[in-house]
Amino acid sequence: MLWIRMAFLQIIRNKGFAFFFMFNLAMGLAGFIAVLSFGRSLNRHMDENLKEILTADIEISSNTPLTFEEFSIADEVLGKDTQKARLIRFYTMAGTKGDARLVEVMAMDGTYPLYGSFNLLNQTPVKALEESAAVFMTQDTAGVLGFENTANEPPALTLGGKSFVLKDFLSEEPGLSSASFELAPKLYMGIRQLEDTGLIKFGSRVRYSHFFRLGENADIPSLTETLRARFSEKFPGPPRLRINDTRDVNRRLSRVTGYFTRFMGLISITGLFLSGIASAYLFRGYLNSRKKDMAVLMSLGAKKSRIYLTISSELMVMGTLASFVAIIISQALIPAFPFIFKGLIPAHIRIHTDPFTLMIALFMGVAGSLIFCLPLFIRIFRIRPLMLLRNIEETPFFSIRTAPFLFAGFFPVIAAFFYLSCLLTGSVRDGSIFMAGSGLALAILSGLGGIIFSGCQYLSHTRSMVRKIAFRNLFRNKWSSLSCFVSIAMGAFLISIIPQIQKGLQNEISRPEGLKIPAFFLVDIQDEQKEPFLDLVKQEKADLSNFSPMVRGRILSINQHPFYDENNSRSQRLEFNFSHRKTLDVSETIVQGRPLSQTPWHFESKIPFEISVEASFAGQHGIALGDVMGFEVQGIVLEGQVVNFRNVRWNSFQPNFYLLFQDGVLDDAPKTYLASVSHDSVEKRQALRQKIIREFPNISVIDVTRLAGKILSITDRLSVSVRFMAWFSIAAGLVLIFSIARHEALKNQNQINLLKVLGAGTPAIRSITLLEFGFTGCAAALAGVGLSFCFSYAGAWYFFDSLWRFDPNASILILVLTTLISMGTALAASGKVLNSKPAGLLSGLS
Amino acid sequence: MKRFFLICASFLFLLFTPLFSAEAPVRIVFLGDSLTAGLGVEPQEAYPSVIQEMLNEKQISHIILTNGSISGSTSASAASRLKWFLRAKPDILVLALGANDGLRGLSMDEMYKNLDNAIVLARQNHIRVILAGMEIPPNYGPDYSNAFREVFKSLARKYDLEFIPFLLEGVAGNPSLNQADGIHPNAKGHRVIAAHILPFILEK
Repeated sequence: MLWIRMAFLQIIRNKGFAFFFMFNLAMGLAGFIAVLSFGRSLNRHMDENLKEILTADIEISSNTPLTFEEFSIADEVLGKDTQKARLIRFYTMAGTKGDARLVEVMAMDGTYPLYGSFNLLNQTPVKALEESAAVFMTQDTAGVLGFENTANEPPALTLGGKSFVLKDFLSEEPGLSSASFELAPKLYMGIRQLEDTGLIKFGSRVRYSHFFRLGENADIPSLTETLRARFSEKFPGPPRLRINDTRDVNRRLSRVTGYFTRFMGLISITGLFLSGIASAYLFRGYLNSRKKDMAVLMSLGAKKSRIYLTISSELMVMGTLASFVAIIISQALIPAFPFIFKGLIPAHIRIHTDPFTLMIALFMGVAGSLIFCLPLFIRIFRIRPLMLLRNIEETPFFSIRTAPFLFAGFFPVIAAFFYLSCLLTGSVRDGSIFMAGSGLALAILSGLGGIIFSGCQYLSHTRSMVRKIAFRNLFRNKWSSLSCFVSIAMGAFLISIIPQIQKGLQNEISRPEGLKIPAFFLVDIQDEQKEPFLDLVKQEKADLSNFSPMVRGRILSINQHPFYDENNSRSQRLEFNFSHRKTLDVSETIVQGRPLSQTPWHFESKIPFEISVEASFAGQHGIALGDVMGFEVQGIVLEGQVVNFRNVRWNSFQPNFYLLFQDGVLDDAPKTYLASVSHDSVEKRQALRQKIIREFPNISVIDVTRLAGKILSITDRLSVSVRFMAWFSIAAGLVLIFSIARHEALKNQNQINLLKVLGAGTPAIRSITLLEFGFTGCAAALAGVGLSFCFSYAGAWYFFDSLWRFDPNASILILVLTTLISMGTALAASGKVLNSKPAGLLSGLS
Repeated sequence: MKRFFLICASFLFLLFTPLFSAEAPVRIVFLGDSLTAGLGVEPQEAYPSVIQEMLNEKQISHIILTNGSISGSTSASAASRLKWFLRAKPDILVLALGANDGLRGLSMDEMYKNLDNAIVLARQNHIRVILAGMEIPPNYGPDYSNAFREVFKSLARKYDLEFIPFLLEGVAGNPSLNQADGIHPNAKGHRVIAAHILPFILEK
């Protein structure tokens, strides 16, 4: 307690400086809390969306009912207290007025769905399905089944041997099929009503799903993996059960949500490093200001451990107070953010700070004082007190004898950051890479800063008094200038990494320009139906996109090496769809190589035809440009050469293919066509569907309106969130840079005062200050932003499948704002000094 | 005397004609869907390949099988796909399409028409047809299941075809002979199908 009391006394004695220090630190920490809270809230929001699609945390499904043993394993792993729901789904022909249509029956128990809900037009209780032979369906489905006029008689339909009444219309239904596409409209009924239909018997093709909702803090991915491992251990061989969590909800979505989670991890870790840099800079600045006091105490014979405890206690008290202030500020501001940023962030998002974020902020404030200052303490304690009293800048030294102490001093800070990095990214590998990258950037920026400030000596050889003094100051105080430079440069580096990746990510997530959301996917259009089908679409004024031929075949070889062999996981059972298109879709871009030749290829041709390969498929199978690939299409062996790699935005909801062949290759092969259709008019959409079914009964019309709408609405939200978080992080980073610059400017007061005493005019002092800080800020920002291009490119390549886009606007903005902030804060600080009496300043500083 | 020798020679020729013709290649094309393409098993495990293997074991080497099946295909593609294989001049066509029509709830009249067109095309090109019948899972309802079954029966009757009443006889519904999806046979299941189909081929 004595140390704390002494610390408070010291703080009260230097209350001006202490307040300034705490304010800066609190600002930095509040920015960090806001970034982390936003990031984690958005992540939670997206996670909840995915849970609503799955309707649970975990789903176990199979083609036969789960056995008692399988249930026991599930209970053992997930716990008996989890909430459960059951759904049985299958296709059947629903009889209506002498006609029969394919429908998908969703027979559910009373607890389904565990996430999300039913919205019914007449608010009929969902329980009604359990108690009577009734069904719910959407009005679209009712239209498809021919229930146009429901006012006169209650519509009924036959399912197997039982008649069901249409009880209510669904305006919103929970979940989305994990199979993604709706081959037939859905009907909801109670699971208890199923038995009398007589549809479930030996040979029936039925999917049994069991849903589980776990506690708030359950580690779902880990539980899913445990379940999979337990089942495969107990029942070896091909898995009978499919175990899904939100990561498996949708292939298209999981890819972009995976990027989003990583991006949020990047934002969080950037926030952590930014606040770490600001805290370290401020703590070390404070420690430097107490060097004289430490020297006095050391000269008087005080033990070094006591000095360490005294100073650390002061820092800890100030750090703790600053953390609390930061928490209070953030808690007051964060609830208002959804209103402040309305339209910029997804609607209905609940932003709150979780205990984890608060703990890290508190840790930064409280323990940061100890771990950030430890290396400096070690250095100070190894210098003779006389040097400290004379205020001689101790030059960094390195010897084999002192090296272990120095490394030991850095160990806690490295360990703490490594632990937090792994925690925030959720992966030791990602955390290690970020740590290593930041360490490398720190080393490069330190080296660069050293060269710049050494070079200031040459810049000071000028007749201009202002430039001479400014650059000489920078050169003379190069170690102090260097720490400021490195801190600002690291800040600029970290915040400008984000927009480059955000730009690439945004491009991947957002809808391609000119894309219309498809209403239907049309499968199995025959060659001879092509022309009449196109005529029908034209007549109906619908938009047809990507009318693509589809030919199934196998890949035989790559450069004469078998594509399938025992050494790789590829199996010959895999068949691929090949296609051709004259012009690429808006969702596709060639990322390497040249476009496919427009000249049709002939079978008699001796040269291989040209192939375009989807970039991730090429990466996955080690396919390079120029590779010659062998194919088997319906017994015919063909050979082609890879001429380009294509990037496909799979979330565009367009029919896309891994492999596109040159014109002419597939002309004679037995093929079907695939297309997507959209229509601006909702009413005409259903009419179009009916016409297609009537005129081309073999064509399967898969309704993707709901799925595409839901997925695209999520990707839109992801896109908005990514953009917002990038700019929010830049803003928070600039606040941190401001707090560093402000602290540095205050340190400069002594020098400004000296110039004033020596008779320098106000304009000259202002010019010197502006040049000194402008140069440091601009050079630091330039170095940081420049370095961020290389690092963000490498990061995007490693973590985001090379989703990188050059964003000059953000970089220029960071550069200009960092320079202006540095100059502005310095000017404000100098103004305060210039308006004060020199004697007062001298006495205050002594 | 000369006439006698001529008659004897003709008699001997006629006597040994079956022997000579047995050695002439017989080409069989399988036109099917994923069940025949061997979705989920290695190509050599699909039942047409297994039949070829069984024929080889019986030292019948003049029968050449071609598997022209495409996963996901419906009866709508039957005639156009057969046109492609006419280049190979097949002698026998094993028509094993229709399962996907049933699973997608397509019109039975259309399915009948499509299969009918393929059979007519085959007969026009002097190709003998073996029709493989299918069953639809009971969850599609008794009416649809009966109508589905009847399509194959009536076509077999109409053209007096060699008819396999149910391609997946003894395999459907048996978990040990099917993959995890419960609908596609595994390698063991394909061997059962091959053993089931082989007599029909040998008979033809």
